[in-house]
Amino acid sequence: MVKEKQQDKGITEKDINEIANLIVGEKRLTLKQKKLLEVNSEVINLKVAEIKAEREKKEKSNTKETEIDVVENRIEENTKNAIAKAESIAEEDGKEEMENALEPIEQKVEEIKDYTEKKIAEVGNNEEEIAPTNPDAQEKYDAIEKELEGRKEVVANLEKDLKNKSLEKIQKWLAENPEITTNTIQRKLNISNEEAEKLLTEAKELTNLYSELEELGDAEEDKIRLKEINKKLKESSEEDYLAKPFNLNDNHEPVPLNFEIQNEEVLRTFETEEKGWFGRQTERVGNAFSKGVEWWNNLDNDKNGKLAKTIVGAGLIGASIFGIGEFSGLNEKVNSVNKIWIRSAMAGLMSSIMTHKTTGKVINNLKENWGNANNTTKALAVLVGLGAGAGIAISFVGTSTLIVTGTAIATKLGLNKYVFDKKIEEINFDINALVGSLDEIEKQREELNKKLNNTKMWKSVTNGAISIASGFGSMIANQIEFKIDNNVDVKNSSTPIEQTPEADTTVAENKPIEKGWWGRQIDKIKSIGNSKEGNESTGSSETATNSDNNPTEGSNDVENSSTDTTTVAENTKTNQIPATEGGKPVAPQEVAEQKVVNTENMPDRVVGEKIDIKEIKAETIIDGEKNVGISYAHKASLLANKDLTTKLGIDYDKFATDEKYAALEMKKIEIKLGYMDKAGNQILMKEDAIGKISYDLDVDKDGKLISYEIDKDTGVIRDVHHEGDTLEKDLENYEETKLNKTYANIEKAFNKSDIEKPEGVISSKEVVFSNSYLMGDDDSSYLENNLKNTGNTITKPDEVVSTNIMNPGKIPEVYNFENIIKSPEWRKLNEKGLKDLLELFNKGGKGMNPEELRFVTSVDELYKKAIESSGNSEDFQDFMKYREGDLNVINALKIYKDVIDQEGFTEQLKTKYGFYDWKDSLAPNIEFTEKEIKELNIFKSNIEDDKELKNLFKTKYGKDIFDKNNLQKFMNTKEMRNIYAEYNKNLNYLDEKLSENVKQIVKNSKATNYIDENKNILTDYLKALRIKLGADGIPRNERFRNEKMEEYLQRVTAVAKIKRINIDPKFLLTQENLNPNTTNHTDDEPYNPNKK
Amino acid sequence: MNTTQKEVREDIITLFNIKHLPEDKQEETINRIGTIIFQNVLMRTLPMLSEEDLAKYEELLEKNSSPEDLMDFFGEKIPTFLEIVKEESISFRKQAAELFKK
Repeated sequence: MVKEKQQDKGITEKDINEIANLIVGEKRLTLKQKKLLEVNSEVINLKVAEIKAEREKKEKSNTKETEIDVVENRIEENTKNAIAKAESIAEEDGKEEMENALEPIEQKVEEIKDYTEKKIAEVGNNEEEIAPTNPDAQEKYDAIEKELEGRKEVVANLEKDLKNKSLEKIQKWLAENPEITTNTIQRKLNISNEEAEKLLTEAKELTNLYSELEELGDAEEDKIRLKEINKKLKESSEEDYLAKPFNLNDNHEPVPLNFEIQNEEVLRTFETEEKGWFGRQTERVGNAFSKGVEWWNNLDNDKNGKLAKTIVGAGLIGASIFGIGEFSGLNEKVNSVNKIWIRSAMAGLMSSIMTHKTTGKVINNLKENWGNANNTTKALAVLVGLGAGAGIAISFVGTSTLIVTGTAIATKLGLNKYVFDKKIEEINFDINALVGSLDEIEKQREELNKKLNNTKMWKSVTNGAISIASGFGSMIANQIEFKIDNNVDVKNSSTPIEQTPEADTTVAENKPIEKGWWGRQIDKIKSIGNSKEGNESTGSSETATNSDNNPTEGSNDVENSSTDTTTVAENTKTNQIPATEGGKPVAPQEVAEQKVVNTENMPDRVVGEKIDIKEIKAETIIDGEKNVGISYAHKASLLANKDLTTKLGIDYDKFATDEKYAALEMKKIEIKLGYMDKAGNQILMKEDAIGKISYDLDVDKDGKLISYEIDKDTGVIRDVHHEGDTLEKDLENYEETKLNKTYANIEKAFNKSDIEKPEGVISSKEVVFSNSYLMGDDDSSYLENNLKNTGNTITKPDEVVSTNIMNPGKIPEVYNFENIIKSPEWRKLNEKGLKDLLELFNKGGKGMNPEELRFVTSVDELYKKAIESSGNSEDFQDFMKYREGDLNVINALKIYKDVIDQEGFTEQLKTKYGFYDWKDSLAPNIEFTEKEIKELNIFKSNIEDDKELKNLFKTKYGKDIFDKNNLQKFMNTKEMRNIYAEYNKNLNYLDEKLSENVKQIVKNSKATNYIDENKNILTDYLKALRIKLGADGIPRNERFRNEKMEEYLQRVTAVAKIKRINIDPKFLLTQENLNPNTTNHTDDEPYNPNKK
Repeated sequence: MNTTQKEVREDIITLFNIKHLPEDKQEETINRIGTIIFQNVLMRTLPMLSEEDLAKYEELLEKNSSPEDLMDFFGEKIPTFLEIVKEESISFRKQAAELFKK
C-alpha cells in the first residue's frame, strides 16, 4: 500500500520510512520532508502507525520474558537450597530437625509454586497476544512446573530414606543386641516412643524377612544347581553303568576278565599258603602299604608335593560325583582315560577350587548365619571342610563296608542306586557330630594302619580285596571287618585271628551283633557330637553277640582246620546255620534265648513306615550269601522266637531238629506269604539285599502271617507280605524270581519219558531246601547234617561258596557236577575236597550224599537216553562230546526232548544247536575255505586286540594259542568254534531279517556313527550290548577308527560269548528293534524301511 | 578349560560349597579327606599288583614321584583303578550321608 502511494506521489520507500521514523521518534522534519509529508500524509501516517504497533508489541514481550526468568531462577535456587539442607539433616538422622527444616522448605516451595502459577496464569491470559512473539514461553513454564513436582518428590523420598536409615540402624542394633528396647531407639533416634516401637517392630519383621529371603534364595539357587547336578549324576551313572561289564537283569553277572586271570593266579598257589605267592604277597603288600602311607605323608614336606597331594586328594574326592570321562570330555575305554583323567581332571578341578575367590564375605556370612543355613549347605560344607575328620572314618569304613557288602557288583549297583534314589538334596549331616569326632577318628585310623603291618591281617585284607575285585562272596571279608572292629591284637594272638575263640568272646562281651564297626562308629560319633558319654556298648545286655548268635560248641573242628579259608568259611558259616553240637543241633531254647535281640512285634505296619533300627533283628538279615531264599531269614526268625513258632502251630523242637519237617513248614509259610508258589517258583534275594534287608516274620493283629522287608540302615519298611498273597510279581529291586527248575524239570522229564525215576528221589512238593540246594542256594544246615551223618569230610560246593572261593556270579544256574568236577577253578580252589568227591564219584558214588548221587545219576541217564534216542548217530555222539562241558540237567533235558520230538538228531536240530559247521572243525586237520580263513583271521585279530581276552585264552589254552599261521590251533578249541558259530549265527540272522539295502546300510555304517546317530535299527540291541559288555561294548574309535558295524558286531559277539554273556540273536531284531515306528511290520518278514 | 570342565568346576563348588570354607582350611581339609581315600584305595589296589609291579611301585615311592605319577601307575596296572577310586569316594559320601542323617 505504501509502495503504491509512493509510486503515485513520486516519493521513495526510503523517504517514507525515514519520515515515519522521525515522526514516531518525535524528531524534527526538514522542509523537504515536511513538503513530502503534506503530499504523502496518508501513506506516511500508515507507516507511522505500523512502526508504533511493532514497537509496542516488542516492549510487551520483553517484559514477560524477564518475569519468567526471574521465577525460574528463584525456583531453582530456593529448591536447591532446601534439598541440600534436607539432605544434610537426613544424614544426621535428626528426624525432628529434619521435619523442622523441611517445613519452611515446603512453605517456600508452595510460595514458589503459587507465584509461578500466578505468573503462568498471567501469561496465559495474554497468550493470544504473546504467543506470536514468544512461542517457547509455554513450554518453559511446563518444564518449570515439572521440575517443581520432581523436587517435591525428592523431598518426600528423603523422608522415606530417613525412615529406612532408621530401620537399618535398628536392624543393626538388633543384630548386636536382640534385646534392644524402644526407649534406647527413641533416645538414639530422637523420636517418639510410639514411633520407636513401631520402627522396632518393623525392623524385626524386616530382619526375619531378609533372613528368610536370603535362605530361600540360597536354597532355591542350591536347589536349581543341585537339580542340574543330579541330572548330570544320573546321566553320568547311566554312562558309567553302561561302561560296566555288569548286567542288572542277568543273574550271572560277568566278572572283569582281568580279575578272573588274577584270581586264577591267586588260586593256583592258594594251597601253598604262607610259602606260596599268597603268603609272600600279603607280606609285601603290608610293607608296600606302609611305604605308600609314609610317602604320602612326606609330601607335606615339599611345597610342590603338598600342592600335588591336594590336587590328587581333590580328584579322589571329586571322583564320587562325576563320571570317568566327564572331566576330560572323553568317552574312551577306561584304561585310556585313566591317565588323562587323573592328570587333567584333578588339576583342573583343584585349580578351580583353590582359586575360587569368593570367600571372605560369604564365609563370614555363613558363620553368622550358620543357624539359618539350609541343610544341604551345611552338609556340603561339612563334607569338605569341617567333616574332614569324619571323612577319615567314613572313608575307612567305606572300605570295610564294601567288603562286607559282598561283591563289587553288589556295591556298584548299590551305589548307583544311591545316586538315583537319594540324590544329593537329601544329604543331611549333624555338624556337631562331625566336628567333635575328628581327632578321635584320625587316631583310630592310625591304629588301624599299625595293625595293617601285620602279615596275617594283610592276608585277610588282601583276600578280601581280591574277593571284592573278583566278585566273590566275601564272608572272609566280614571276618576282617569283624576283627578290625574289635581291635583284636593280631600280633599277640597265638592262633590265626579267624580261629580265636577268645576274640569272639571278647566281642561277645562288648559288641552288639546287629551293629558292625560302622554302626558302632555312628553311635560313638553321635554321642561325641551330642557331648554325651560314649555308649558304644549300649544295648549289649539286650542284644546278642556274634558268638552268642552262633554257639558252635564243636569248635575243635574249626581250630583243627588246616587253612584260613576253610576256617573262616566254617566259622562264618556258623553265623547262618542252626547251632550244632557234635553235628547235632543245640537245644533250640538256648539258641532262641541267646539270639533274640528284640522280640517286640511289629504288627500291621505299612510300607514306607520307619521303625527304630534297634528293633531290627540280626537273624532276619542274611549276610554274605547270594540267591538264598527268603525262607532262610524266616526260618532264622522262627528259630529265634519259640513263641512265634508255637503260635503258628509249629512244633518248635521238631522244627529245630528235623530238617525235613522244617522244610515242609517253611514251604507252607512261604507259599502263604507269596514268596513261593506250589509250582516251586520262588522269590530270592539279590546281592542288594545281602546285609541290607531284614525279612522279619511275624503275625499281624489278626494272628495271620505277615512278613516285613525292612531296610536295615534306615528302618524303612520296603515291602509287606500278608498271608494269602500270591507269588509276588512286582519285585523289589533287591529281589529276583527264580522259576521252578531242577526238580520240576527232572520230574517232568521222568513223567514224560520212560526213564525210571531213581529210587528215593524226593518230590519237590515235599522238600524246599533240597530243591534250593540243587538250585545252588543250598541249605547249609541240611547239607551239614547229611554230610556229618555220612561220616565223610567232603568239601561241598556250598562251603566253597561261603568261603569266597566260587564267584557267586559263576555259580551254575543248575547245580552241575559235570561243571564242578571239570572246572579248574573249583579243582584248584578246593582241590582236596573236589578230588575226594571225584574219587567217590568214580567209585560209583559210594559215600556220596544220596542227593548228589541221585542228581548225577539222573544226568547220566538223560545223556544215555538222548544218545539212544538219536539212533546212536555218530553226529549226535560228536555233538554230545562237544556239549559235555555244558551238559547239565536242563540242557540234557532239552536235547533229549528235542531228539525225541524230532525222532532223531535232524538237520534242523543240528542247526539249532550250532552243529552245522562244528563237525568238520572237530577233525584234526581242518581245511578251511578262503572265505572262512578270511573271517577267522578277522575274528582272531579281534580277539587278539583285546588284551584281557587274549590273556584269558592264553591262560586257558596255552601260550601258543595265538601263534601266527596256526589257525587250526586257534580254532581247535571248543570255545573258539563256539564263538565263531555264534557270531555267524548272529550275522546269518541279520542277513535273514534285513532287506538287502537296509542290511548294507547297517553293515557298512561306522559303528561309532551308527550308535551316535541312534538309528532305529539295532539301537536297543546295541544299547543292551553296551550294558552287558561295558567298555568292550563301546565301538573302537581310537585304534579302529573305521570299525564298521559288521566288524563291531563280530567283535562284540565274540567278546560277549567269551565272557559268558548270552546274546540271543533273536533279541537282535525284534519288531521294535527293526523299526519302532513301524506298526505293521512283523518279525517274520524282512524289514522294509519304505513300508509304512 | 573347556565347557564341560567349567561346568564341572561350578558343580563341585556348589556341591561341596567350597566357597563356604575359609581359604586357609580348604587345602588342609581336602588333603585330609584325600589322605583317607588314598589309603583306602591303596588297601584295595596293592593286593592286585604282581610282585613285579609291587617292586615298580616301591621304586616310584623311593624316587619321590609325584602323586600324579603314582595314580598314573595304578591306572596303567589296574584297569578298574578308577572304579575303585570312585567306589571309595562314593562310599565316603554315602556313608557320610547316612551317618549324619538327622
